[in-house]
Amino acid sequence: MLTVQLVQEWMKKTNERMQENKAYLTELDQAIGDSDHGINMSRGFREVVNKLEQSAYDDVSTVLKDVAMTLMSKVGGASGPLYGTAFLKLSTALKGKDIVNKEDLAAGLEAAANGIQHRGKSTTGEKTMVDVWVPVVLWWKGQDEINAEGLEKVAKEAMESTKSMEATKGRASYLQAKSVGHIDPGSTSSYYIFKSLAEVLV
Amino acid sequence: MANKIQSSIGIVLVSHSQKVTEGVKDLILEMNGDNVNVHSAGGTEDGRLGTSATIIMSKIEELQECENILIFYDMGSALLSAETAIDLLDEGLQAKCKIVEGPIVEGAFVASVQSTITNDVGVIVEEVSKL
Repeated sequence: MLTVQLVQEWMKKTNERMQENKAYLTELDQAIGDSDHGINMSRGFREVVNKLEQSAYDDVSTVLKDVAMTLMSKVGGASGPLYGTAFLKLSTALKGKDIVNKEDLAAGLEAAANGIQHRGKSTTGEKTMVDVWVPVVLWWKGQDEINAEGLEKVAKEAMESTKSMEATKGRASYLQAKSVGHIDPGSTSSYYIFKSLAEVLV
Repeated sequence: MANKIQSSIGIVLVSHSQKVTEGVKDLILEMNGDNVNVHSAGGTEDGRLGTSATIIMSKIEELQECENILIFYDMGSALLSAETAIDLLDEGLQAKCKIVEGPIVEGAFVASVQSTITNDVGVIVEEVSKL
């Protein structure tokens, strides 16, 4: 189940992880990208938490819309429109829901994953955040009830699976085979988002 | 030379660098004066390198009186942010927007000059594609 308070908690935990791992995300991005992922994520989610603290919310959908708009305006790099689109699709899918249950969240996360793929014109196996979002959604849909522990595990394995992939999308694709052996930074920040979600789900 | 007209074309410039979009805007205004409608939407809200879908959205909305709005971008996430900005607009304004493939400096410059002699957006995009 997800409520307004739990979404706020989800974003707080996500922000804490982005701040703690700012240098690590930058390091991952230095290897195969343009070195700005740590800065962009820490900046974006700090602003998300600031925004949520300043406002009062009645429903989950509206909180998630503010998350989306903040990420779109504050991140700066490609992850801004990608995560912004994901949270906007999630927000739209959960519109009018007072209590978000497992099925609602399945539909919402699927819409979010589709949104990322559409925005990035990307699919699985290209060493991007899609390689976390898609397997997580598929796994989630196959569960009978909310399984927080399983969610964290699936997201982590999905992130780690990007290490052996060759990048064909994003800036890392310039490196082609040289990108193999490095975990994708976008898949790592996506793992932090799902790990934080797993911690707040009840 | 054809008579100059007040353009019904709007141009929005999207780059990671606000200096780039301001510079291109300066070039365009220097050449065309007030006959053109051009907005700079580069950089982030806090002046860093990067793009912001909400800045781009608001610059497009400022041009809503235009019949067509052409968006030029430089690279990478500038395109993603421009596409996201368009998704955030209402449908009427969405229909006016076109993201143009072409170099941002030369492309926007050619489009602006063309926009002072024709309002035919097809002709303008065709000229940009010749670059």
